[in-house]
Amino acid sequence: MMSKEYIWCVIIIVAVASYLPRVIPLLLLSGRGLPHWFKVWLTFVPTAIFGSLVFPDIFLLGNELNFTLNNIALWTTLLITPLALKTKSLGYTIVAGAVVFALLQHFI
Amino acid sequence: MVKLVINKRVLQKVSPIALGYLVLGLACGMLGQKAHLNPLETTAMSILAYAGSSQFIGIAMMLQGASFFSIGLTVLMVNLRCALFSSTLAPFFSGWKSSALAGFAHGITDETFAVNLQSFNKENQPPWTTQEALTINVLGCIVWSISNGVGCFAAEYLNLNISLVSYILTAMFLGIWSNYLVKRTMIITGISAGILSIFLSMVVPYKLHIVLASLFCSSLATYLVIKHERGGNDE
Repeated sequence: MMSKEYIWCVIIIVAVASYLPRVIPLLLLSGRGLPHWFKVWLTFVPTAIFGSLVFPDIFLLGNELNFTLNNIALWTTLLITPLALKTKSLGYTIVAGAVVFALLQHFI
Repeated sequence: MVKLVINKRVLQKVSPIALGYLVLGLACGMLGQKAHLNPLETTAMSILAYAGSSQFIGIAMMLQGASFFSIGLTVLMVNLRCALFSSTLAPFFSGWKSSALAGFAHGITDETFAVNLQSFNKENQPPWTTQEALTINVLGCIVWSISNGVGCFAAEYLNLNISLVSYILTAMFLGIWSNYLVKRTMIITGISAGILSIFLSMVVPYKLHIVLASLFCSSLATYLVIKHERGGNDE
C-alpha cells in the first residue's frame, strides 16, 4: 500500500512536469519560435516515448520476454493495432483493447 | 482584459472535446482508484496536471512504485510535445501579461491546441479571440476533472479486473502513439525506442528505461534528419 505522502508527491511532480513544457515557450518566446534542431527533436519525442512505454508492456511478462499464448497483452495488441493505426482514435483503441483482452482472457 | 467568453461557437467547438474527456476522464479516474487514489486526490491530480497522458503514466508508474525522479523525467518527456504547441500559439497572445499567459498555458492539451489553432487560422467573422481560446481550455479542464472524480468514485463500487485495467493503460498509450506513426522515420524511431526500452528495462533501475530509450532514439533520429538536411543543401 502506498503512503499518502508518496501519492501527493507524485501528484505534484506530475503537475509540475506537465506544466513546465507548456508555460516556458509561451513566456519566453512570445512568437520568436524554437530553434530548428529542437523542433525536429520534439517531433520525434512522442513516438519514441510511446514506443518505450508500449513495448515492455506487451513483450515482457514477469520481466522476461514472452511470446507464448499466455501473453494476452501481446496478442491483444497485435489484433487491435490495425484498428489503432487506421482510426488513430484513442476511444476506439481503448474499447477494442478492453473487449479483445477480456475475450482472450476468457478463452485462453 | 482576460475573461471567459461563452458563446455559440465556443460551445460548438468545445462539445466534441468535452465528450471525449468525459469518457476518458471516467476511465482515468477508475485507473486512479486502482492505484489507491481517492476521488479527492484523483480530482486534484486532474486539475493540477490536466494532461491525460501524464496522469496515465503517473498512475502506471505509481503502481510499479517508481522513483520520483523517473516519474518526473518521464512525464516531462511525454509533455515536451506541448512546448511545440505553446510556441505555435505564442504569436496570437502577444498582448497578454505573463500572469495571464501562465494561466492559459495550463490548459493546453492535444485537443484544445488543435481546436484553438484551427480557430485562430480559420474563424474570421469575427476573428477567434484569445478569450474564447482560454474558455475552451477552462471548459475542457472542468469536464475532465469532474469525470475523473466521478470515475474514481464509481470504481470503488465496481470490481474491476486488475490485469484488464493495466492493459487498458497500454491500449491508451497505443492509441496516443498511433497518432504519431505517420511517417516512416516516426515508425522506425518508435519501434527502435520500444526494443531498446525492453532491454534497458532488464538492466536499468528505477523505471528509467523509458526516458533513456526515448531520449537516445529521438536524439539519434534528430541527428540523422539534420545531417540529411545539411547534406541535401550542400549538393
